[in-house]
Amino acid sequence: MYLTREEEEILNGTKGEMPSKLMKLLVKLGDSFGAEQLVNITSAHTVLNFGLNFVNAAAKVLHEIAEAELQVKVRTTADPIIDMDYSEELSMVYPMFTLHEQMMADLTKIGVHGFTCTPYLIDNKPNFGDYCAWSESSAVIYLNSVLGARSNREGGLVDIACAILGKTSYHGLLRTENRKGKILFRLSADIDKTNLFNLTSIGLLIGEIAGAKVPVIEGLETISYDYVKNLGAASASTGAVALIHVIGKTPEAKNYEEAFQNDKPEEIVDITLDNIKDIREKYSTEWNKGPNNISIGCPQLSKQEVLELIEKLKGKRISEGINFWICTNNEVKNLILNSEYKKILINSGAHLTSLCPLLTALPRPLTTNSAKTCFYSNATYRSIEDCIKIATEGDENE
Amino acid sequence: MKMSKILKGRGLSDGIAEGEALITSQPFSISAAFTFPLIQFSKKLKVADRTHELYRKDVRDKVLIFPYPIGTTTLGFVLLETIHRGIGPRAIVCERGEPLMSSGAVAADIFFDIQFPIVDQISFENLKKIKNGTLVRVNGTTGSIEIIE
Repeated sequence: MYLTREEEEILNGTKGEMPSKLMKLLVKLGDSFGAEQLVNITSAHTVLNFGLNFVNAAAKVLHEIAEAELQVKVRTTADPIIDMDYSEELSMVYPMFTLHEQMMADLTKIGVHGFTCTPYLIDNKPNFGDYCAWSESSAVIYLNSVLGARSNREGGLVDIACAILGKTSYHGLLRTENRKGKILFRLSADIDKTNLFNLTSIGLLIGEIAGAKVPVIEGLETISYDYVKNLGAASASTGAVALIHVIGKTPEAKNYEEAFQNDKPEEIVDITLDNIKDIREKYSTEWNKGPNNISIGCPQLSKQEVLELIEKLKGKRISEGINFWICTNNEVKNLILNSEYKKILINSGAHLTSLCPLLTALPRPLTTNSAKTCFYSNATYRSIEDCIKIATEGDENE
Repeated sequence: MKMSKILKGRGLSDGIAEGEALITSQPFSISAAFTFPLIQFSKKLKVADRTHELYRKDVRDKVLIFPYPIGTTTLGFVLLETIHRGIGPRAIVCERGEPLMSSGAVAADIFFDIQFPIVDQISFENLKKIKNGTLVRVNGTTGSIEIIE
């Protein structure tokens, strides 16, 4: 790999032992996978956030980075952490977070702030064409697809190395030619494209078929970016998809020609209503009793999505024995709790939280409208309307 | 006299290790397989991925061979933890590696001075001819594996 003089100096240790080690990590990985050089990044996002007892080694490295007084060079956010407002509801989960305090102190010390899986909804929102080092799969696909910035799926710890050095290796989706659409997905006319449950199910199917190839989807030019977020998170779960072009919607797919970089798709796949039904059955875990937890917001909800959900909960009451989780970032949480919507929320009994939805799974059974939660947490997969119905069933207010 | 056969590929992380081969033709998710035993502080490393044919098989001290890893962004630090605790396989050989998996092994070398060789770019057609239990020596520095029969 070609290195600038400054990069070589860091590698050789003139800037200290830890920067040299971090540079070694980037150079070794870059060399293995055919990167010819490093490039400067404008933003980073790490998944090294959970202080769980299975990340001791990585946490030790993070601690050494903090001890060496190093700071991130670019705006760096991290995935969501635990939300102490719900310590009672989450008493099964919290004891596992033995490293939480140390890791929070270290992340804060090196300059990481903002804990959410949707950093682009707070102030970590790179510009079109920027190079970045992000690692949360649902965030990477949003960054590449909707923002038109460029990041590979970095790994936890490597993302921190990139943030400290302000660099990543130039390969994969950082290169224009690798952003070319490969598979065209077309939707049959009878699919309701305004229905979120259809779109997230389509996302699961696209991930499964596309694998690591760049998918292009036709016929969704009118959907919101929130819906692209939810569809993309599904594809990033079932496949290694990190970029999806939505023709007429996303910035590198203003039209068909641009999405395929003036070439033809390698493959065309037609999606039918039956395909959507089948994929739901494939991934949904059906339990023989009702849920203890219902989880909405993976990825965490935008302000708009929270407001729409609260509207739907108006006049309803969550049944005794069910936790109804609404996951969003801390800023939205505080905004809502200081607004007139707080009353509807309290009356409904729903929990508005900045938690990572992964932590809302225990004890099972779990029901969700999120394709990603369904995939990772053996949950029952239902539309948001059905989730609300299940949560409030049998209640007098209904 | 022992006979040996050498297959040449690409080294993704440095070091030499030797162990009995354990082969699966199913892609392997390190996060799904190893996270649970790590949380449990097991001394063995029984695969926890219910969807995998190696489910409940102990991979400790083996040379693990599969076509390609299924990557999630936690893969690197999960593999790093496995290597650091010394409860995992001794080496990995696959047809197609990727950076998320390599990062765990490379980080173990750089930050903890523990070498865990990974070799890829050997066709699975050739890899699947290796019988389970055969002794395999993996050299991640030269990017080759030696099958000792």
